[in-house]
Amino acid sequence: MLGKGGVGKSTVAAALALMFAQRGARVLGIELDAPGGLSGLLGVALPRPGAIVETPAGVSLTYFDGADALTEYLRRKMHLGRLADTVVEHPLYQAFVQAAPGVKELMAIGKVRDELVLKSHWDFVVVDAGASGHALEYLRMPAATRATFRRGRVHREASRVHALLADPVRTAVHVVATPEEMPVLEAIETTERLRDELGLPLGRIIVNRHAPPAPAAVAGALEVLAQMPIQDAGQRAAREQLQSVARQRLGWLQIQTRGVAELEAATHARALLLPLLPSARFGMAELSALANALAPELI
Amino acid sequence: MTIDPARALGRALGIAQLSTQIARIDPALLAQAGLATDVSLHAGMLEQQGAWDAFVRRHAPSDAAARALLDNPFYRQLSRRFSGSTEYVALEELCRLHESGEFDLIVLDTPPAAHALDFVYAPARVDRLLDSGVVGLLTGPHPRAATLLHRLQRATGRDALREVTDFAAAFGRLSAAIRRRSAESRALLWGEQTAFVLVAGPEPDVLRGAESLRTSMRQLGLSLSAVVQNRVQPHFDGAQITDAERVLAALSSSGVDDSSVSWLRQIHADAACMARTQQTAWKHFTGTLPDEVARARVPLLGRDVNSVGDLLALSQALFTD
Repeated sequence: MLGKGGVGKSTVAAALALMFAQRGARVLGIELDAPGGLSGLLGVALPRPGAIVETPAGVSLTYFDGADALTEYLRRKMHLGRLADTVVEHPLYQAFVQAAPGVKELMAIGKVRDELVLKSHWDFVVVDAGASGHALEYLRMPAATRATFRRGRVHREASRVHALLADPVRTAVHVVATPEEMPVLEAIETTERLRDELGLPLGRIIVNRHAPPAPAAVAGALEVLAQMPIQDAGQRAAREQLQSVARQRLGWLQIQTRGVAELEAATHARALLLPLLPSARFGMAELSALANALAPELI
Repeated sequence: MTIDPARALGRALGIAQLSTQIARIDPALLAQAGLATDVSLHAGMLEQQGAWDAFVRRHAPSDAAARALLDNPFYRQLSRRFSGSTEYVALEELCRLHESGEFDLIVLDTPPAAHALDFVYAPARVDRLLDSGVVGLLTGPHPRAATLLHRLQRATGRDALREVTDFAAAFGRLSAAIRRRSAESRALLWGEQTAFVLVAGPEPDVLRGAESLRTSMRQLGLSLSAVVQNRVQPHFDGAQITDAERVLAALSSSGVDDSSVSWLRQIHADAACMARTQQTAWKHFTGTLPDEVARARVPLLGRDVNSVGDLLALSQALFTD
């Protein structure tokens, strides 16, 4: 699940995981980048990297950290024996892990494959990959690594991860947007890069916070509202407020209609619409409502 | 300057594609928005590839040293395809702009919250890498490294490892320049002439994210100058809600269809609810801020930002609060 920052992709990822769990599937939610979103929504504290926790919603949850995954990989796979400890505790190694471009992303996405393929315990794994720019780095790293290291173990393992990501039977990359101009533009750009540059299977384009349309007669009603004689100053102010809220919502609806149309035209796909849910506290009830909206589209 | 590709911003400023070539905003666009035509406003974007190559050309001790890096296959992959290397050059670019003296003010738009501080960490990370001796280890004879390199060679293939060691050698020749740059960029980021402004969306979860960013900044010793809550829903009080109810009742009895009245009631309630939630979150967020940090709430514009005029409207909202 990826999308521009602030469009609610963690929320949609949590709703998707909940939807699978409510239907009896074994689901693992994975936080990759900027962790805390999924766990917060599912009502648990962020687990330490690699640990799996159960949430009250029936979704299992974990968090993969690239630096941790690399250390684990070196210990287990590189056959360095006692040298492994010397390596990972060396300041040089620590400096390398922090500075080397892409290593953390590669290791984290590699661990997603390990969890999914090697353990084969999960029916579904939902990955909250973070804001699109950075999420694409996770998806791109296996192919980039494969091209850079043209043989040897690193090449083989990067190829395996890429093969999983590129397999339309096992992987779907969902792109989340809100129906506003900038998130829509970014979603279109992300979709194009997924398809043309990375060759990865696109799932659904999900439009979050989609407001219900206004009734057809609303223009007439606003006309009457404007003409209505009102004596009381407070009520006159309230009328102005109602008019301003209506203008705002109608403006939003216009942007929304255009945004969804642009998205659908650019991606040649029907967008999956999730309702706008204004509430004082976004909780399990709201998450369930979104899960119910996802179900008929994805099952 | 933006680090993210900001197409909509580019379009609003009349620039098809923001790039490392800093472009001046067409004075005619400024005039349309009612600004004086001698206002000098420029915009650009940091591009990973171009910026890295320019950095190498600028700082390599010789043309041959530059070529050795630019032609190295590992460098080409690294600078074009790998993540996380943009921040180093972002700082380089920022320092150069600052030194050019061409601008009175430089506004840098960082990546979103989770990676906003990556470029602040960048100099320390590069310094640590150079200090760690990894470059020497990869390039010089080193007894303890032999086993490790042998293992790495089996994992990556011999050619690739040679490309990496060649890269390290060529990169090592740039280390004096890199160290100098990172000292200069630290001086700039932590200097008095630099101000950090934290902009957040109005929702509680976004503000919680901003809270942790603020903590990281405090730990780094960066001084926060202002916080902004963007796209805020204007607040209604209890009396206003009662009055709106009365107006809706009157509207209903003047023969307007029920669906329109209940739609108006619903969106009004939505807005009131959102306003309340956002205000509570803002109070919580600003409650622990020191007094000297300026704060502003920018109301929801209700349309996309498409022109210099729209940007001007935001700017006015920002400074009248």
